[in-house]
Amino acid sequence: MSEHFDILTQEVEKLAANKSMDSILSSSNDILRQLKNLQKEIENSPTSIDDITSKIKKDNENILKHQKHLNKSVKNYSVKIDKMFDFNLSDVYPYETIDIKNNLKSRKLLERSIIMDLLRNGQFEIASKLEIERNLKIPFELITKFKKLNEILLNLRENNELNLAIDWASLNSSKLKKTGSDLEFNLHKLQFIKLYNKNKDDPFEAYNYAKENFPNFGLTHLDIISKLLFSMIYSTTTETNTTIDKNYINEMLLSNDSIYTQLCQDYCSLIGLSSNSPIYNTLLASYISLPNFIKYTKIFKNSGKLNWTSLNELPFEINLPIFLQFHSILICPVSKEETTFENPPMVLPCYHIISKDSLIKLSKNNLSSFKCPYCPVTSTSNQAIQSRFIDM
Amino acid sequence: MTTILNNVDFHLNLKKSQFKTPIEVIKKNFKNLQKLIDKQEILINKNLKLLKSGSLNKSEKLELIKKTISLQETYLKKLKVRVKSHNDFISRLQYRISKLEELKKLNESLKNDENGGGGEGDNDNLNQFYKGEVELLIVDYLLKSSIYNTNTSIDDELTGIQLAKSLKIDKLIDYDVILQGLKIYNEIKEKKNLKILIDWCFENKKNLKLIKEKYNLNLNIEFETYFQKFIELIKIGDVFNALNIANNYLIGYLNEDEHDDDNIGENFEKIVQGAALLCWNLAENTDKAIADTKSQVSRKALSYYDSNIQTDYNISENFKNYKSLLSDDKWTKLADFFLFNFNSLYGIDQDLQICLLLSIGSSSLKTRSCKHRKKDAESSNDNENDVNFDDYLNLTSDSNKDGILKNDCPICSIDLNELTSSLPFSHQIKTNIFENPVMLPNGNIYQFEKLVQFNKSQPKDIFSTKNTGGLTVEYDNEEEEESNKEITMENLELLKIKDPLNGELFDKSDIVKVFPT
Repeated sequence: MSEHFDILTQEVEKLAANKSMDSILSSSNDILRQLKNLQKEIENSPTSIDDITSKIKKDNENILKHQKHLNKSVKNYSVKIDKMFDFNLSDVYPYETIDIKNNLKSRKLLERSIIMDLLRNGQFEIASKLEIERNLKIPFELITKFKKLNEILLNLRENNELNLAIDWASLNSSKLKKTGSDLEFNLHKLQFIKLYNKNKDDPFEAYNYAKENFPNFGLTHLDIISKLLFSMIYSTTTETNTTIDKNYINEMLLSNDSIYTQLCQDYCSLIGLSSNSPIYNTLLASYISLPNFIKYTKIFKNSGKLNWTSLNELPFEINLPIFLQFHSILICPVSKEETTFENPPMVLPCYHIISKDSLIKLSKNNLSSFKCPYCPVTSTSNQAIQSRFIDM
Repeated sequence: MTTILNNVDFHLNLKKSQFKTPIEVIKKNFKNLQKLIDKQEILINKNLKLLKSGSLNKSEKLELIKKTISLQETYLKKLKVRVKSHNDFISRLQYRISKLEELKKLNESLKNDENGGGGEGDNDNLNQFYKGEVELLIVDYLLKSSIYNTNTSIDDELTGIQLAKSLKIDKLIDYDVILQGLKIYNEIKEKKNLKILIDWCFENKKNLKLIKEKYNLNLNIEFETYFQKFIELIKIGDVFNALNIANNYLIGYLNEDEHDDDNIGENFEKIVQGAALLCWNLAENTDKAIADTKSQVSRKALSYYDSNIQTDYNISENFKNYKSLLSDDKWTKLADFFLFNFNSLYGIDQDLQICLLLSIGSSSLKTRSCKHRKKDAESSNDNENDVNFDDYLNLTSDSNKDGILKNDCPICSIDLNELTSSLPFSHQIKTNIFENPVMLPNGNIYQFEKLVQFNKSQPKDIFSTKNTGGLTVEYDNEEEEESNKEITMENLELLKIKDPLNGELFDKSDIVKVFPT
């Protein structure tokens, strides 16, 4: 939907195209010129000022005309924009919000997370200014870590150099592998492609690089390695048809942004932080879920039937994209409730899972055996294993 | 599929101030320009008439024309300033439109991707777009929250403005307009400067009336301002001027002909209440003040020297009702009320958008499996001085221990956990578990592939510790081939499986598939 935007674009264009200001200015300049002419006339004695006054009069009429003209454009814009907006952010979320005006602690907590976001993004100067202004001491240790990250990223972005990133990744190779990251390989791959592209006629350097670095990744990335090496062989032997070569290499080439993002994420994971800035991810979730809130508010207003009944739970489901789903959710098939720390999932002998509360109910307070709600297996509550879902 | 980018109109709605503020400035500027033009036209016409009338001799005429020319030159200078400001704000609008145009294109491109055809760059662009939005929200926050830091001077050096400039997004926020409001706010709240507020009210009289009608306010900023002035004058003992203010301004608000307010009654109540202060101020009696201080030894010695405090103190003690009239809190309220009016006038968001959006996002993300970091009762008294970065240091040092547990959830993060603790949970109705869940005998349920991958990445000798009784793990020799084959429970080559969380070792046969439904 862009109808409002299109209308607004038109209005801005009209406003910008309105050259009334220029006309007002030039008429005013003309008045000055006429006044100077008048001065000459007066100096030359026999004066008839009628001619000049009528010119000034014309200028003034012109100025007035353009004032009206401009006024109209401004008014049109105002009228259109006032009709345009159909939701107020503060109206669509009737719950308690983060209140930094009255709650000093919340303000400080928010400012701390803003500082964390700024540090992630290399805004050290601003962060240290905030440190004083908002009275929040940032430990030197923390800054050092982010400065190191920033150095690697700058080297990548400004100089297009991978060496610092590769050094860091090799140093942390085992930790990276543990988290399942293929950053190290991706960096080597990019470096290989870089060397290869630099000197296609003499791929020796690239070959050496491959020989030195790729063997460690045979287990995990053999497929890509062979493709990379193949394209090298291919291009040195045939000069005419290089389509395959190009396709392979291009297919592998990660955008700078994506390797940059991966590096940031892995670095933050390794220093024990979430890979993306929590503020960023939460705001992203907010933008994605906001239409649901707007829709719900509208329905509520129109029907009067719906209500924000439960105080500590939203009244509707929000489908966030997979990259914004962070927890395994088990809805107990019996009670239809989400399992929690207090009401954990219990695995029955048939390996079906229900919540602890439901287990207690089905077993009549752990007194009798019961049938699994999903299969014919009968069991007792002490046969069930308390379990937890572990996200790796 | 979930839409991860909303349409342009949606974002336009969120950014309304970007398009409202400039036009309000343009309007105001234009009105001032019209006044300027009118004044100049009248002046020139008057002088021309005089020149024509023949009542002046030549040198007088020359004198007059020279004067007129110089006036016209000054006028032109002023005019140019107005024109420049006009063009500046128009160009902001154009720039902002162009930014949204980019968003519109991105939206169309994403739509095409859905219908097949790849757009590699789109993801990066999407990231860039949201990154830009977050940056803008942070700038907006830093700027507007600067008034809560009493030790910050409100000027062009504000951190928010610096950040906007360094991120090159200063054209997307009318920080100069916002700053103007914050400056007046600070003058009122910190310096108790009423003159600046009186001037501002006068300058915007017409618009303020419209705002009052639009929001159905039962307070009138002009009345509140003069009333505050009245109280302040009484506090310093200037009864004469206090009465002047009352006569010239406040009484006017009781007159239905002058002010068609529906809150005349309330205004009346206030004035009557305020009038009582006149009497206490007259009781400015040193002997009594000393007696009072003696009777309460701990009372501030200050009151010896500062009769205002004494007056203030006496009244607040004896007449609780007047406490609010005399308290400094009233200045904060007045400043807040001013800012509300100022923001309405310029279409600036009243709320901090980042707080609202974070609240909405947080409750969308918050599940009942999210951590509760909130500390034990004794340390959880809401003292803002408890907030520091120590948690981040602790986390970093023992992160290796449970580094395998991936938790990227923003609500579980130190950054937002406590901040969002009182917000509602999301509404979950579907089980959402990873594929292939397997359970170890200790009840821990993992995704099978990840469990295997973790075990494969372990150094092989760990399996020959005393736990396994010197048992070595046998791998299939042809690992390369293996990597292309799907791993199943049946062909799993590991004989022992280690629990990534606590290092417990289990036999392969102990792993069982579970069935969450």
